[in-house]
Amino acid sequence: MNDASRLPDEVAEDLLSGGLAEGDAQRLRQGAGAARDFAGALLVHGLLAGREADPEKALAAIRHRLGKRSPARRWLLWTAAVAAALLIAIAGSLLLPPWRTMAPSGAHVVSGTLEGIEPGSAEVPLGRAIGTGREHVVLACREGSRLDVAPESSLTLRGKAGRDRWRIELAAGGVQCDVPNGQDPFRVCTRAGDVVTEGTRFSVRLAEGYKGLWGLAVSVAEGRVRVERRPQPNVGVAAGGLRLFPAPTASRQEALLALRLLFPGEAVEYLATKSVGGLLEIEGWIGDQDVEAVVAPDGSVQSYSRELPRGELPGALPAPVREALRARFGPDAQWVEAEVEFRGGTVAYEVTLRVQGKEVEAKLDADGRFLGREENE
Amino acid sequence: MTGFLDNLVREQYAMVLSFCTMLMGDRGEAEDLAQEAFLVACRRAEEFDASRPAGPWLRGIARNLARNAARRARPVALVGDATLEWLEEIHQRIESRPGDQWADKLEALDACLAELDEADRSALALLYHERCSYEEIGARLKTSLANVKKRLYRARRRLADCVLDKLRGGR
Repeated sequence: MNDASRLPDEVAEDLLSGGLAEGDAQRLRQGAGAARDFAGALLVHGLLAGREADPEKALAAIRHRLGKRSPARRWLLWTAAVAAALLIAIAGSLLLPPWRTMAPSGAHVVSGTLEGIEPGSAEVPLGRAIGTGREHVVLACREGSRLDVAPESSLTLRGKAGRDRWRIELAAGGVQCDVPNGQDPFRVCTRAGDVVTEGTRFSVRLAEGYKGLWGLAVSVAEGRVRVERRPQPNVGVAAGGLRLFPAPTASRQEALLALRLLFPGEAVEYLATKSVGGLLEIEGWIGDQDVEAVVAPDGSVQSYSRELPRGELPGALPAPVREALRARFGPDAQWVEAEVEFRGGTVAYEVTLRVQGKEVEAKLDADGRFLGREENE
Repeated sequence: MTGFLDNLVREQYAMVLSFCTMLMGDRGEAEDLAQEAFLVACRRAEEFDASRPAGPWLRGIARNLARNAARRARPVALVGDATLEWLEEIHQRIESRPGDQWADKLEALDACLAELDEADRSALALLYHERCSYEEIGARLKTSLANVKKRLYRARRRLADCVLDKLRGGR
């Protein structure tokens, strides 16, 4: 051990408990990780944690991760699966509407550049890995559904006759599905769970967290979807809902994953979580801007917000918001700070201005309608 | 294979979790790393030499996993190689103590805990045994968050001095 300078006790404690922001922790590890006091406290931290270990609980978790099952149980599951498949096949042939017995006939690119298809062709072959670059790509299925594939996404489209005619295997990124009247059933399959349409317009976003922890954000604009994450029970998400799977807890890995799901494609860093009135408030930042999410214990996102870059005000605000603020507070009002908040499918802008020496906060929707006003000073 | 895994986890999990907590600091990350170390051990069971102790082998796997996590720019281990070597040396010293299970070998820790003052011992018990948050510990002990952090850190430093002294054969 070297004898690096001593850390303040509180900072060392935050470092030990993982409570420091990742960037700060990394900087401190360089100089303080080996200080004698710190190493001694670290040793005892581990010994005390190990003393409380529950090997049986750990064994159950490891077995679960190994996916181990006894031969007898595996045989039972196979028998049950075959019997169920036979029953479904018989029932399906009698009950399913005719469109469900036909395989989908394909899709084509409406806008954007798709990687993985023949150059110059707009046809999207089924079963081939395709991807997007830095822009959204819109695909149309012949039966009328549309897919808006997010930037930096990788996926494979597959089709077959049956209940889940379209199967989208999403390996990275996100996809928004617009499925008219549920006439073209979709199943979006990801390593973090499947999302199945029940007649709807919805979006799925996949993100990777720490050490193989994958998360899903499912947002439903119309209708309803069913999220299947075995062995957990299926969960329905209705119109207006935005839900995270797994539901984040105070664990920093899950909280960071939640932020990555809500701010896709951004270099988001985790700051802290706190529990307020039964809801989890997760704080982080992207560059110089603060971000925050408020999530219920079941993973339902109550709201999430992002600070707008101060140097880009008022340009970063939508024109109706800028104009409404200028009309109310005059052309001499100074822009102090602003953030955009997403809540229940609506967007609101909270803007702080300095008007005649006083700071004024105003909240407006994206069309420039005032939602409230509060004077700070 | 199931028997190998079961025995390994039952005998070594407490030690591996202890070591992983030293690597990662955060208890959740440590539990994740410890489980992953056993998954790797299970896949590499044929490499295990039953005539040698399992502890150093498992700790080696955990160290490599932590290093790989660092390469993938994930949360990384708290300490550098010099401290890791020191921690390995302490582990081997604890493993050489009498007792079948890891917990049996920690009599130095138990003796030192008994020497702490009541308030420090309560704070540590709330954190490790009852797994309270710092805020909950503050509320239970009627003190501020900053005081909770200071108290916990200082209690562990005192405990470390005592444990290391006993492991070296003093007192």
